[in-house]
Amino acid sequence: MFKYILKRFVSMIITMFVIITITFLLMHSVPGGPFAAEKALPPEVEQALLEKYHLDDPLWKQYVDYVGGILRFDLGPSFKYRGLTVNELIVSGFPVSGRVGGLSILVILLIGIPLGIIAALKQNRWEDAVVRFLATLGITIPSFVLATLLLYVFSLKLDLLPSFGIESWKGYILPVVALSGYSISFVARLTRSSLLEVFRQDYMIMARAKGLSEFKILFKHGLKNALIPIVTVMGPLIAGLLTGSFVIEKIFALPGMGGHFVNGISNRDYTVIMGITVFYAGFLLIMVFIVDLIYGFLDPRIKLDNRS
Amino acid sequence: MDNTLLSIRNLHTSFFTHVGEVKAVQNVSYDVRRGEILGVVGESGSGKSVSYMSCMRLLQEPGRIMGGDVQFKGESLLSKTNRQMRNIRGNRMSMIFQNPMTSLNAVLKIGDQITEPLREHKNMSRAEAKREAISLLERVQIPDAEKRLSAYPHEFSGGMRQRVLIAMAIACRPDLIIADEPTTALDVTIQSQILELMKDLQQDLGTSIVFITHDLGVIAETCSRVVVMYGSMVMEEAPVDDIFHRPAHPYTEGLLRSIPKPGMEDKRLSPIPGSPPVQLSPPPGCPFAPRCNYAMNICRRRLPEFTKIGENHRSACWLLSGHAPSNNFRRENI
Repeated sequence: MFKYILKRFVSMIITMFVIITITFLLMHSVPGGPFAAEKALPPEVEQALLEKYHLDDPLWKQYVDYVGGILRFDLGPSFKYRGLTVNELIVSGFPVSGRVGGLSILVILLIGIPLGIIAALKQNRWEDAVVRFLATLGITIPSFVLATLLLYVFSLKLDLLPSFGIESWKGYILPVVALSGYSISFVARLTRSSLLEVFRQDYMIMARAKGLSEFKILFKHGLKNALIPIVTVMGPLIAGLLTGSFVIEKIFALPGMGGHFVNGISNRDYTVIMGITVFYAGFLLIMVFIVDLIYGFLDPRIKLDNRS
Repeated sequence: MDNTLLSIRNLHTSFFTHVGEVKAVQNVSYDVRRGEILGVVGESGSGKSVSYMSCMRLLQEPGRIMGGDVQFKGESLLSKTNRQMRNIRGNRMSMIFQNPMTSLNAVLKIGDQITEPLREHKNMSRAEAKREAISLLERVQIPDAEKRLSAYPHEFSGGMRQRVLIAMAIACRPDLIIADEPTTALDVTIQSQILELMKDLQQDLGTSIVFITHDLGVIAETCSRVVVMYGSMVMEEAPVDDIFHRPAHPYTEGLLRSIPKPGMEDKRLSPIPGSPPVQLSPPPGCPFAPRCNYAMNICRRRLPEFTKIGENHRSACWLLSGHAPSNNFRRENI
């Protein structure tokens, strides 16, 4: 086990390194820079800024300096938010995105999976039809449409929930619903199809032939098998949700990471782009790693280390 | 004393597919006696498995029992509630399935799966069930039983898994074990070991066993009586010796002729020409008539009744009727 974790850790570092290099090169190949504005700066000022942030150094030196910074967990200063470092941006933005994302994940698991189970158990009956209809709707409606719709109904017309900010718990409701709508539908559909597939397996008929209760057949024999594909999609999904959705954060005016990221790109705020990419990539790699660990727990046929 | 354990009467089962009703079991009637090994033989699709899935009430959609009755120890299984049925399944009546590779749940420990019926039906505590599971595994000759309880199915070979399934089937000392092609997926050498094991267990426990198979070799080795099915109906029912030496149905004869025997290496096997029918729109007559060498006009028009040939021997064939003209089949066989 220890050897396996070590191996994964090394491969994660290599992956991170590749991601950092590619993002760095891509970013610098895009025309423009952090200080290119519509109204040109006086050349002396621009030169001074470039010098201050070492942007006049050769590219390889900037790259080496940046990687060196990452090794010290220093993601550098933001070029646009004066006086703020990227570390500070992440520290202030991540908790906001993380809370909204975390709640969404909870909602997805607590609603999506049970809906899928109900649909599978009542296959081709009205319960199934309702779930399938809602799930199809949820998958086809983009989150910004859903968000606008929710705002119109619950904030503007009914005046029940705030339209922006998360000062009180009420502020979380609309963003979480808008953010999780798609994923609930996706997880419900996946749970349904995965369970239906499992129901056809010989060991399920065997479980029935042993005279077990429907409850045991479903939860002991069925669900553990059916969960494997769901765990697969949950890893990246969790990483994506926790690190923030730009669209949702913009609509509900949440000061999360997603907003910083997109603003960073349009501002050519190099360190912010790099910093958030590195953060997101690291998060994703860790989630994928956790998913693999859960696999080993769910399915004994998957051996993590090759010792047998 | 009533010797009948399971009695199937006029059973009809159909599958409602998108192309129409497929009659998988038609008017099937026969008994399973206490303590016997009965062979049910037939080609794939002859309805032999479906009839037992109907008895256990384990038919999957779109299958449905359309008529008839199944009595187990004098009580109708078809009128039992789901809960009563659960108490019979795995307890009084258990099944061994064809494919030991897929019939065990890959994500649960063997011990977990063996103790399940014990805990469900015998209300055993965890510890009692575990002790019983060890003795069951020893009984089916799995070495190192105690350690193997915490192993997963993929750590067992095919033959070992079939032994585990057998252990599971005998766990509650059922009155009847239905073994659906239990050796088909195994190597020949393992096959005979498994058959021996099942015969031994049957002797020890006095359980009745129904062997569903297409392998006449299995029948010859294990069974005392045989039911031959074709095209979702029973063609012949007889003691095993009669089936092999005095077959009274052209289909049974055809089956026997299509297995190789020692001393005929230089001769060609004579398979039955044609292929088995799909019971989507069955013709009115005998289902075997289109492939039968002896078929007469009436065979294609009307279903034959059963003719009693001996004490325990009956066959559904027009050739056996008193009105049939003298014929080769009768002269050669009966």
